[in-house]
Amino acid sequence: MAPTPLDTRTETEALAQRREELQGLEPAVVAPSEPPVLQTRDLSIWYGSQRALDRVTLDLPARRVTAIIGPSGCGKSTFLRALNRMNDLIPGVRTEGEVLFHGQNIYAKGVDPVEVRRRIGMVFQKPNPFPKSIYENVAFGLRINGYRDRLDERVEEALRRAALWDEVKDFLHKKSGLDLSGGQQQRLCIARALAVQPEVLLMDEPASALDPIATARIEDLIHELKEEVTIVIVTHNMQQAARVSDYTAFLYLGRLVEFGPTAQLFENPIRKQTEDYITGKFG
Amino acid sequence: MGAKTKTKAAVRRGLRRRRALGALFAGVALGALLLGLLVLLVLIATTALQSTQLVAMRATADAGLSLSLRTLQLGPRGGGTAGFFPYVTVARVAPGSPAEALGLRRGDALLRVGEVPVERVSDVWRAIAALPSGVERASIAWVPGRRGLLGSLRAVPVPDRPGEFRVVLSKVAPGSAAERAGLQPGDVLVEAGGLPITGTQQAWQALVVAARTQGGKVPLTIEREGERLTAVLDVERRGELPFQRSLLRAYGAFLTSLNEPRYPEHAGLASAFLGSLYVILVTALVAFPLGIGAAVYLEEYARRGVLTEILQILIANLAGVPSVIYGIIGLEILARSLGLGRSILAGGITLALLVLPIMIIAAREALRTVPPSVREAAYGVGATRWQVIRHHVLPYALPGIFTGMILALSRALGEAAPLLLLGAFLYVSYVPQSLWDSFTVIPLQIFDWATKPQEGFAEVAAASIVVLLVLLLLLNGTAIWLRNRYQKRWS
Amino acid sequence: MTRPRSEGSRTATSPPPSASLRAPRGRGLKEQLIRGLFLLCGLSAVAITLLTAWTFVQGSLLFFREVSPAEFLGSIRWAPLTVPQSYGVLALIADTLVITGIALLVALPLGILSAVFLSEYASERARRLLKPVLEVLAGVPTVVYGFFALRFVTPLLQGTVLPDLGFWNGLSAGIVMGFMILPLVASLSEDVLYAVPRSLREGAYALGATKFEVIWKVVLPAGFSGIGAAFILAMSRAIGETMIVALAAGRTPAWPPDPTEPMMTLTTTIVNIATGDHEATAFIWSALFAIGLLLFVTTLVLNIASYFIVKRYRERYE
Ligand SMILES: Nc1ncnc2c1ncn2[C@@H]1O[C@H](COP(=O)(O)OP(=O)(O)O)[C@@H](O)[C@H]1O
Ligand SMILES: [Mg+2]
Repeated sequence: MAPTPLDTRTETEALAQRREELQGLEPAVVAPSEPPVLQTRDLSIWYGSQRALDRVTLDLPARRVTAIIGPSGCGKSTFLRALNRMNDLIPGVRTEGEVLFHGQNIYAKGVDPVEVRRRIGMVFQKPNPFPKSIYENVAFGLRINGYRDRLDERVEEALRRAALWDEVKDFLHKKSGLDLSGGQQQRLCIARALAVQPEVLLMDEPASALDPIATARIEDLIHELKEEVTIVIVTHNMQQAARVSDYTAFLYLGRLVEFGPTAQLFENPIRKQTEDYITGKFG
Repeated sequence: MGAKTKTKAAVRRGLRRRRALGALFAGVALGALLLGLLVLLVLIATTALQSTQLVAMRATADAGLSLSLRTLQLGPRGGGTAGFFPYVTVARVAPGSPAEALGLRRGDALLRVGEVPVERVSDVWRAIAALPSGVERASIAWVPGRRGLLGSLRAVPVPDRPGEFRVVLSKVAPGSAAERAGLQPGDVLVEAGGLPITGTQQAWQALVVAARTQGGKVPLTIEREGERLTAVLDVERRGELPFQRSLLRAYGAFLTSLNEPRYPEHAGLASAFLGSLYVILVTALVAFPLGIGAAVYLEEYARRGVLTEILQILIANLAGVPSVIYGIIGLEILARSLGLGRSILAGGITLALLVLPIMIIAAREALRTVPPSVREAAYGVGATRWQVIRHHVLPYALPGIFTGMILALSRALGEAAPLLLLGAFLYVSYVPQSLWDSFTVIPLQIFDWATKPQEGFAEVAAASIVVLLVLLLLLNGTAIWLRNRYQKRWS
Repeated sequence: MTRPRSEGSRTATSPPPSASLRAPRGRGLKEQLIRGLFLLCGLSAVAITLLTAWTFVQGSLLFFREVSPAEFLGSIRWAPLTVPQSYGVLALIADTLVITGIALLVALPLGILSAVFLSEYASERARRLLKPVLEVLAGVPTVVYGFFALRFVTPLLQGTVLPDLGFWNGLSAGIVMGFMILPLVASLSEDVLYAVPRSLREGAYALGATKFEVIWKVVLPAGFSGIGAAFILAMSRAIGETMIVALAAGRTPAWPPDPTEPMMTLTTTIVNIATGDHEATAFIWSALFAIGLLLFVTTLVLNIASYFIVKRYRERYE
């Protein structure tokens, strides 16, 4: 049912109030013990004149899974896409602050966004395989990154790592990526990202379009992958965040509210906003 | 009249009137749509119908005949009937043809085909078209040419009357109707079937017209040694000619023969057909890469800004500039300044300029159908912009681009005005061999034939229109097929 | 593939980066080159426009050095080949406008009514069937329409209502041109009417309006500017149409314009000059550019006007 005008007013008032509360608030951060791979420093992002991210400073630990949670529209995707310069592709986006990858600012002059994306891979919310064969889906990244030899082997390895090999090995060349089920498509996208050996894998709600069984498989996969890859996963599903991540960051209205070990954040949140959110008071 | 004072019945009446008005309007709107469609379809259907005359025309050509219309003009001076008497002569007989075997020669005059008297060339075609189906022969009656019918004639001035001549038979052809009628050299021909004889050619014409109107045995008044005699000339000869009527055959011959500017039954579209093909090929080769390139630039590279905006407005509006303007450009810049002349190359490039905006617009639309997720996925694995375009965007959009390109080319295929200006030849009777040859195209042939006053050319123009429309339908059909096929595959 | 080693990281992170984030040598250049190539293609449209403008302006300058603009636009006598020469295009413009007017008289009512039927009354299936038919008909070459005018419509009019109609005349050219632009008008207007938002119609229905009243008082007024754009575009198309008039309207300017007589439009004049057997250096060639410029500017202005009207309309309703 559509909200009555009265409802909207109280809602915008509540929002304005929350915004005010956030303004003076420093993020509550429990720094991870592992060395960081990616660090953001006062990262702010605007779409035109609208600010979607407000001075976020965060260290993402190596070989761990970090979950980004927060209500819809709080800037999770924007933040994630800033980490491998995918935002460059959207007209009208302005970025301020730094994103350090091994200490090197990926927004510095002379840095090639293409190179950044090769080292920091991405998996999207909706599975988006290329309309090509399964093999070609995985091999594309390899080819454009200059791998010429042992392509078959590398494709197989990537598919194995994405736990898809056994399901597709019989029709690698015959079936299009689009012929697979939703969960398989998403694992194909993971394989495609893994094939070029990224150090970081960014996942934007990778399971939101999938059924529970497919979701469980993706979560298992994340567990296995974190042995080798740093994973940053955006989710609006708090159970999922609790299940798969080691660290969790809570974003709200474009600001980082709280960041710390997942168990601690969920069981013992520091900030009231965090508590309100994870207990379902808003969102 | 306030609403309050209205009774319920009045309201209901009002509503009924409003409804009736609405129904009327719906009817008028439907009528407008049907009228528009109907008129266009009727015009096309009539043209198609008219083009079927080609079958009979081609049948006479296959029998070996080229026909042309002549007129006998009788002035009031000679007394008797005055006026114009059209008749049809054989302008050419193909060697080795059935007509030659039958004994028809150049200069003979046709009298009847079947039972139909022949006054104009179209009578011949109509008679052949009217033959019962399955009958592929028709009897024809004709009068041999002057020499074959009579022999040699000489015009001798009448002493006291300047400008008047007596027509004297100077030699009688052996085996001719004149010999059989007992004419001798020195006889003066005076009157044929009541028509006065005033000249050598006219003497024969009078015999032809008299034979057609009065029958094959024509009374001929002669003067021999001051004495008037009447001989009966049996001028008519009869025989049977095969006339093969087949639509396929007719169109086949039409498409494969060269243009023949004098005799519509021999007219051919081969030069124009190939000319169109070559010109379109050049157009495609020039406009396709440029069109895709510009579209890719606008969709994939250009930032939103003033320059891009200007570019867009230009492209959108260039598509609506009258095609004749492009003709002037082609003529001035391509043909003259660049020295390409009236060549296929110049024609193809002119049309390429014309369809380029259309192609860009179509290609942009196709590129816009590529889902952003495909681009993101490719960028996400570290592809450069060019790699994304080359490996994902273009392959994905290509069917759509091809569809747009085919439609743009079909526009070029039908264009006549720019090429008319460029001075594409109307009388090309050879097959173009190279890009530098002058050429003609189907629409220009239509233009040329449509304006020819001689009988038969309108029908040939109609047949060319049928060819052109069929080609366009094929192109459009291919485009639609392509679109449907790939739409299904990707979605 | 070997990449240059990183210049070293500033903070202590676990594995030192194996390679720098700079683009491999040559990649930037290649990408820029390709971009430049595409830009060139994009600029081809600009080049064509500039080339056209330059050609026309230069030719016209030559023309107006000899003929005053006042004579060009003010005189009704077009006689470039008879002495004394005269280069007045007023009669040509008048003929063009008369034929265009006849065409619009045919195309507008029929086109708009057809559009109303398609968008408001026809079932979705009929609509999807008929729209492509309209588009195919819009693709029939104009030389074919010219043939219709010359060979069917003129004889038909001569045989029925206008026995004195000339073999060449503006009337049949105009009528047939109307049917030629009819699919365009119908298709554009249909797009416009179809885009009128449902909410507007529903507002009127809720007040107890009949369907006809909704169409007449709400849909058509809402689509007015869009239909106006279609009208302008149709007019531009009619003014620039060449083959129909070249075939059916004749090559003699009529003054005062009488559509039952032969008429000569701006476009036929262009054809006449270009296909005439003149010396390459003859002055009459420059008249080609002056008339061409007139035609080019007129149609371009009309097209751009229509473009912006449509754009504004879209922004309002989409
Ligand atoms: N392409 C875009 N253009 C303009 N605004 C955008 C765009 N993408 C996102 N936004 C805005 O930025 C804010 C954050 O969006 P997003 O990062 O997608 O949120 P989340 O992923 O947390 O749901 C939202 O208010 C959204 O409206
Ligand atoms: Mg999101």
